[in-house]
Amino acid sequence: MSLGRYIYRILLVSRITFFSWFRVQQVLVGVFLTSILYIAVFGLVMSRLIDEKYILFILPGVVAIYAATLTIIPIGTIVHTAMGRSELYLYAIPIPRSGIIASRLIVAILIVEIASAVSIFSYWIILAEPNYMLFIATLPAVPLTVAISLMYIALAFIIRDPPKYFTIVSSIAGALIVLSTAYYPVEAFRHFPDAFIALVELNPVSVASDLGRAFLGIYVGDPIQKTYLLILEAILISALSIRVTARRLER
Amino acid sequence: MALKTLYRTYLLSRYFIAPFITPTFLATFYIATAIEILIYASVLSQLVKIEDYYRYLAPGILLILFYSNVYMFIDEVFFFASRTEVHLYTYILPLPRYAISLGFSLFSGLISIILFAPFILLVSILNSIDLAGIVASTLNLAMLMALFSIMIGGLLATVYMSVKSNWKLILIVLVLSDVFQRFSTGNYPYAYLPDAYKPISLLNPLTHFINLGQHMLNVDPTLLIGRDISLSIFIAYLIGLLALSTIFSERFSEGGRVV
Repeated sequence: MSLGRYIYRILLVSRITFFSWFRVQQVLVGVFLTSILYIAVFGLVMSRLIDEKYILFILPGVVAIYAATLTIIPIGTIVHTAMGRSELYLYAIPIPRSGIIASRLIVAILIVEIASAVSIFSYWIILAEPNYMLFIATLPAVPLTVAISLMYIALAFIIRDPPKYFTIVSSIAGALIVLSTAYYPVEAFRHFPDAFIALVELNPVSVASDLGRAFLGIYVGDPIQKTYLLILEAILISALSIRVTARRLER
Repeated sequence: MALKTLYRTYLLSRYFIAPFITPTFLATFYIATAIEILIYASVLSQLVKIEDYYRYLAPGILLILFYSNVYMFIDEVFFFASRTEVHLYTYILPLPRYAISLGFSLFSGLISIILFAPFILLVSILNSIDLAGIVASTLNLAMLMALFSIMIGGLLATVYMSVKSNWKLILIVLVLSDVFQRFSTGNYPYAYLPDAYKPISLLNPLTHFINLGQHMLNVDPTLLIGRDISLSIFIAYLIGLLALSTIFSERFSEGGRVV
């Protein structure tokens, strides 16, 4: 199969998958309601309690949170596909299994970016302050979404019982978010041990959030270092996850 | 007869909820709840300008988590019991419909209280001065949680028995859950909400559950809505939603849903 035909078929499967997932209530609520309420209620009220800039501070964090949470459902159900419980038609389409995984990744990125755009528009409306740099600040979410999605796919092939999988993965997502700088700067962890703070800083959700803030000029650290760190972590997590998935796919 | 009915609904609820309580669920539940209360609440309170904000935030987060858990249990139970064809036999059991709704809600609440017991005790210790205060606030909070479970059960039963389409039903349940959480006062005090949000927050049953819980835990009253206002609204919701769910469940039993 030529590369052009392979890509065309992946895009075709992505389109089918995207529209089937965009009818799922959990995805709709996450993309069109939670994303607005995060900024319009949580961000706005907390900025009154903390600092008026908090609403801008939380935006890149919220985008990183979407990468960890909104990908769970479309990616997690890949185990059903692999076990032939549903979406069996995917095997009738002449693309390799890696193509099915690639199409899910495209869908995950699209969902995260749409939710991020909804949050950005909410911010613009609330503060009456259009800031186009906010779209640039969502870019670190792309490698993060790819890495986290691949990790979820690898876990889906390890934990094959769907209820157990969703329980564990939701908790992993929750831990990744709380133990990161998505909601708060790293200085807020000052009463925790240094090793714990180092782990928080290395958390890929923290790295993506801080890099997004660097694009907005509200991060005091080194953005170049964060960029390298995000790329390195994304490559490491993705490579490890692909290796696990490839082995499991053959069984 | 009432005792027999209660016992039967208990057996039925246990049958539906028991499969959720797996070792994986318990392990992830305790780790996730501990992380939220001990890390998220403590780190976020470092940023807030109000002194000792953790004493406000920790009970708020605990009560939101309790709400999410009860909501999830009742939602799953009602969905499977009322919509999945496999479990349609639920309605030929010798139990009144309102008893099923009440029993499911109460049992979901009791299971959640047992699950959250260590954390209830923790926030009680954190916010009380002496042993008597700890015992009193723990018991009061447990009672409030049981009543709140019945209230939320009444709300969900009403929704489940009123909406015909499964697609719309799931959407409504998710939207309600999200709106209740965001417009509640678990994360932030009522006084700090923008004026436009205050009426929504006041109408939100979760706000009054959290507010009453924080009163019981001796949180600074200047950050809270008046106890009497919250208590009145809470009782009104409790009675109103119970009555609605009872009426709707009887209409459902006669063969026609409201919508």
